[in-house]
Amino acid sequence: MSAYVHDGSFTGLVCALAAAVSDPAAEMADETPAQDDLFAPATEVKSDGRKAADFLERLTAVSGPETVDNIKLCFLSKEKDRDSLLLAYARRAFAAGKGLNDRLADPVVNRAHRTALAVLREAHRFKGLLRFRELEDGTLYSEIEPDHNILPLITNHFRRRMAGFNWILHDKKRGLAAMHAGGRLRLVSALEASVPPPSEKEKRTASLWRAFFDSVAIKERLNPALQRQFVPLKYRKNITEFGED
Amino acid sequence: MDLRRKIEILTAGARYDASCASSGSTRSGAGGRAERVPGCCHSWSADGRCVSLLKILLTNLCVYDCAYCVNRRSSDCPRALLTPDEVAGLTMDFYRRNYIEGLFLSSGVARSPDYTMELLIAAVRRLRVDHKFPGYIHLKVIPGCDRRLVDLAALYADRVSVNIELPSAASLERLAPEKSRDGVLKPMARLAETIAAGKEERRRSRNAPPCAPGGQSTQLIVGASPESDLQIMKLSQSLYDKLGLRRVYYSAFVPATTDSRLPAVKEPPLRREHRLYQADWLLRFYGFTTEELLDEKCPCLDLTFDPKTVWALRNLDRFPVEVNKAPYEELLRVPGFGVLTAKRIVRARRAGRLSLDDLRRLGAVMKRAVYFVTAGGIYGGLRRDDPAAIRAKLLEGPSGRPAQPELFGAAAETPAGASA
Repeated sequence: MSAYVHDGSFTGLVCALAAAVSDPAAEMADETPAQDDLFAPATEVKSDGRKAADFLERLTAVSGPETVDNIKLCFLSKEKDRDSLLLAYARRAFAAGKGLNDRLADPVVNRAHRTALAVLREAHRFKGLLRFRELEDGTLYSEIEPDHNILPLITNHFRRRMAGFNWILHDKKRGLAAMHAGGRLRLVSALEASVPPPSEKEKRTASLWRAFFDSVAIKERLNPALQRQFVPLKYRKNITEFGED
Repeated sequence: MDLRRKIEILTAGARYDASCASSGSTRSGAGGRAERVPGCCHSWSADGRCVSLLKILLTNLCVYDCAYCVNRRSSDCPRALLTPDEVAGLTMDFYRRNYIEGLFLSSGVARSPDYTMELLIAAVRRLRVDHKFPGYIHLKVIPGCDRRLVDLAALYADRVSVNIELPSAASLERLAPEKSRDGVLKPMARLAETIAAGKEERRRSRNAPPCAPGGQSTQLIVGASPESDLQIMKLSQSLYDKLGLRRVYYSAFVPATTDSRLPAVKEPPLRREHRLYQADWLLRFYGFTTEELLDEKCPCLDLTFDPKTVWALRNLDRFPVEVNKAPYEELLRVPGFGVLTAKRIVRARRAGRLSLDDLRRLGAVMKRAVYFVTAGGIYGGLRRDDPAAIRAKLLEGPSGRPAQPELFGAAAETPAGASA
């Protein structure tokens, strides 16, 4: 039995899957870096773009493009046993062939689909819940702390919506950022945490927004439990209207 | 008056209007192309209702004295007026910060319907033309205004709406004597025509200007007048079928004013509103008709059970449904199955026979569905032919105690299937 370890990138993961899928005794070492495990010596898999692309192509040929879409989405999920799940999913793909993704009642296929959906749903949610604040130099800056690594999934949306502005989406949890300046987009993996102060107008605009937000609720039908269902407390510290003036 | 105070007053006047809509077109403008994400809600206020638009009145001055309305002439609330520049500036500032998807602009009737409508149009023109605002605009049409103004509204807005307010002409006459049924229906009919013609234009030429691509909607107040749910749902169905409305919103009457013409209610009828939304969803997404849900004998929606369950209990001869065979349309009618579940079932059964356990994994709410389905011939409920026994079982919580009431309320956007 051998546990496959990779460098944490998507290419690395796919290469590890490719190596492990044909070895029936293989496991994935979830939560890298793997500890020394007496029973499952780690096998380090090197990232190789070519190998990864080949494997994804094979998966598509065998079971259709949906499988690869799901693997990409699951890669972004926070699930601790993500790699094991994807190995089981990839094995099912070669066993079941074209009908793989119809097998929604199969526990592994079901979980792969659900995990992908959870990631998509959080991405969708953040298209709405994300807030920008205007910095001194006019840049619009947003801090997010999503459960899943959704930054790559929402960047294009804001690229279209905010094409004419300079902006930064900063995933503080993962130290990732998408920076849009002068019409060009850059992805940064370790953003320095010093953010310039907000613009002069920012405080007033945020305060006017909170005035609107408080006034729009109908007092006779207050329902904080329902509100919590839609805006969980964990997201609120980065949402303007739940802050203070 | 400072802007903050104006916002407080004019939002308080607008908050009873239900809206949650961002559908339709893509517009290009300054700062970007706004691609509408369906159902993109930006926040939820303390009443649990979604906030996706800056929902505000241009003014709460009003020459009318409608009994149910907080802004009526005889109310001694503070009054305010926003300038088109203020509306446009706020919308742009909020939109850039991703607070909102766009603007929902309504108004009290200042001076006359035409005068007010011109002000509203001036404000949205400022946004669309001067600021090149690419976001969503929902504009209210003031009943009784000129038809050319109706057309202009459709030119700048993504969605337009005329509030029908009360479900019958008699109630409108009694509670809003200065408004007429005709004044409401005429602009609606005009909009239906304009929108249809605009669509035709767009089909012929891609360069034709968009014309209210989000269609029209309306709202009516529930519980301020004596109409039954049957009357209300019939009205909704005809609005959907005949005028092609996208949405009918139901707003539980909030007794914010006292008037001898109004019923003495202590609390807004939230549960009734919720049931109406569920029934509305059954019409639009589940293939039901009003006649199946309500009739002269039972003209009111059950407050204990959702309308789909009530229908199923009355039609037990159509159940249980075999999940491995039943067509999609029949699966949709099973209590505890939503649209997504029904679709998953149809897909998953291509790969193999489904068991009752599988259904749970596919997202079905089995504590309800179990009485109405078989899987591979196996029935998991009690008596399949005894509605009273099933009713009693459905009322029980997991430990045999009465179930907690569901988190109902303002869940205007909760698909019936998610909870039904």
